[in-house]
Amino acid sequence: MSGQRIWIRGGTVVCPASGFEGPGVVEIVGDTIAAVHPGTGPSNTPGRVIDADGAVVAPGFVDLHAHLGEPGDEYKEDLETAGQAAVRGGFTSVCASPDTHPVNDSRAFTEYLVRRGAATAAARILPIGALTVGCEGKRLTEMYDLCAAGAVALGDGQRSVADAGLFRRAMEYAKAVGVPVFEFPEDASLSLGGVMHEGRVSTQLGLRGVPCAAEDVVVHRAIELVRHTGARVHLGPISTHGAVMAVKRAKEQGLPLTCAVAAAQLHLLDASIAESWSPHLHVRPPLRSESHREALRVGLQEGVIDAVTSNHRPQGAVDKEVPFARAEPGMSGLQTTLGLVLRLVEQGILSLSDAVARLAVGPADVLGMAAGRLTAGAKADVVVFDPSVKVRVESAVLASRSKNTPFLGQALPGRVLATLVGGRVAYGEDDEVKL
Amino acid sequence: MIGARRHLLELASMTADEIEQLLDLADTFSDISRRPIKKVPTLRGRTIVNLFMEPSTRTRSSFELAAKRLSADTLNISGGSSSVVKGETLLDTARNLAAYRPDIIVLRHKDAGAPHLLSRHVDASIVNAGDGAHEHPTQGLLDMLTIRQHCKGIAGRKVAIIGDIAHSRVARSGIVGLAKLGAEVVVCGPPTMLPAEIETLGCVATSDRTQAVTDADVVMMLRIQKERLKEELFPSDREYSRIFGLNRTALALAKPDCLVMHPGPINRGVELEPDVADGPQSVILDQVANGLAVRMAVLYYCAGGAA
Repeated sequence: MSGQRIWIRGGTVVCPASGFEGPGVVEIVGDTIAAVHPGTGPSNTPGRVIDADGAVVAPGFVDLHAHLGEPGDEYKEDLETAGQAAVRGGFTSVCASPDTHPVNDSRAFTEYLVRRGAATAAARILPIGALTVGCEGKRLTEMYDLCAAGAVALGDGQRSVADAGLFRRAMEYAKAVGVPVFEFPEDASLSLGGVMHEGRVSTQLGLRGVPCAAEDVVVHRAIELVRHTGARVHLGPISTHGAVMAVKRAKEQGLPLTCAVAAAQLHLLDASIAESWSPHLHVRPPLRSESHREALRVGLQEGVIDAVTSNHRPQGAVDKEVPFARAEPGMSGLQTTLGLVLRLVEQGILSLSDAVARLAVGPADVLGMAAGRLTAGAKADVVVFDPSVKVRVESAVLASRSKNTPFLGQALPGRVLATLVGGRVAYGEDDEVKL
Repeated sequence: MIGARRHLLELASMTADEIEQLLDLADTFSDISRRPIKKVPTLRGRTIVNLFMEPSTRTRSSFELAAKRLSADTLNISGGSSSVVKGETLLDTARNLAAYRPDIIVLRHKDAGAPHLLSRHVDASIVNAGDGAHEHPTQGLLDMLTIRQHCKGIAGRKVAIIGDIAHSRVARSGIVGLAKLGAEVVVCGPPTMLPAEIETLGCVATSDRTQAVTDADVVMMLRIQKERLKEELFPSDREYSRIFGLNRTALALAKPDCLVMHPGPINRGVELEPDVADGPQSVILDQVANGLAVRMAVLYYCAGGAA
């Protein structure tokens, strides 16, 4: 081990993977964590000190579902702006959804993303390769090649493979490649034209609904095909009570199934759409009603839901300054996810340790990666945040190129003080925040 | 000033009192159209833009005539002829029109919530002339006015609304408006055309035409447009008319003086048999006449007149 030595002192270390929670010092050498010392640790040590007094020191967060705009939608986002938003939100690794323009369905494309990510993004960019060519659900991609180039999982972005037979073969093949299959749980024929949760509010507003069955049908199909193929499948983001119940049963049966929920989904309800008609509330999966939100919260508490995701899908102003149904779905989420999860901690729904687990080790385990841990030998991906400070969500503090979030103007708990990616301070003391 | 203007966006957020006041106002305006000189100077010098982004004949002509009878200056813009076909967004179109400083913009749009969007971004009173499958408040008002005139009040009357409830803005405005005024509303159609939890709007839902029509004071038929549906919701016009259409036999179950209404245009022989449409119980042309009075009342109200 060589390289710069950094000591993160004075904070409360929270590492759900190792079970360490309490005062501690994280010692970093180069790009690796050398040790986590309980208490105040050794004194008079050489190296740089990051003062985390009163703050939480946690493993860097891993985001499973994010659309990073590049290539094709650079006016919404690119890897550089997304990377900045990520590290300001505490994320050190961000999966890049493959449904860009063009789609990430080839080795050359994945290599390009890895190269561009390393050159321009402050966070690690983890490409998701397409499961089918063009995400069209017709032909399998060259999965070995995609993964050799750096794809960490395979999926079709916000599309589910309609053909169950092809989906089965894709799962079998991906299993041999050794990566999880990401399935977006929405049956396109059932959600046809839908722009919000189907129920009382969609009926009142005359907006076309997406029934829960559109999600539940895909979840149940995935479960039976996991049972049949033994392949690892990750569902996400999920939004329904039915999905939580089905995943819970499947997990009890020992099936290799995981799922994620979008942070905003744990707070917002479809009823808000009736109050404002705000196109910022047009997201996929759609915001649902109270009973679904409750089921998602319980699922998160119980660990049925492995990960909270930003479901970052920034949209330009022109994509949102239109009537609700016509707006492009999605919100900018990388910088509000931590705050929304900490709000659940404030509300007594999650412990701090569980909150960190769902943001770090949970998603890392979905990918089968060693990230999300503060243990000797692990990559030094670390976030330092103060959960007691509230930060107002304003355009000026959002690093994403797109500022479309329904949380604008709200104060969310949790100020990120520093984010280290591979031992390098990607955000923090050299920026506006003085440590 | 944006947001401080008086708009008519939907009936859902209006109180029963406000609705009654608008109906009273419409009653007084209906006299004007019976005079030899059918014009009053009430809105002289005011500018009203009729922005119709979706095809419409009767609603557009009704709004235009209403404005003219109130002596307002009107500017009519329709989707097919405007720069919308050149790719201009709704907001850009509206902002450009707003530069002429109109007092009122009457908007018909295929997207639900479009008038609400305009009301937040454009400094003019916005009148919703139909937004997607959401609401058509002036249609709701003219239907209520027609019922009130013929049935001596609305409270306690049984009103059956039959047809494609899911895709109908006429149905939504009708249900919420009538329910606020105390009517007993029953909606009826094939299950594929009854949207989720429709009863929470204040009505009873059924797919049994007999249940809907029996002892009704009013039967309101909605237009069926199979060719415009995105998906298969019923097998054929033939079966639809037999099971859900209104013919003389079905109408016989209603009260003897039951009103037959239709927002038009009618698909004769599909949802409504010609002999019923043209029969003595039909008040379809009264609806058209009342539409003019209601729109005069709404323009007057939105231009700042007391209701």
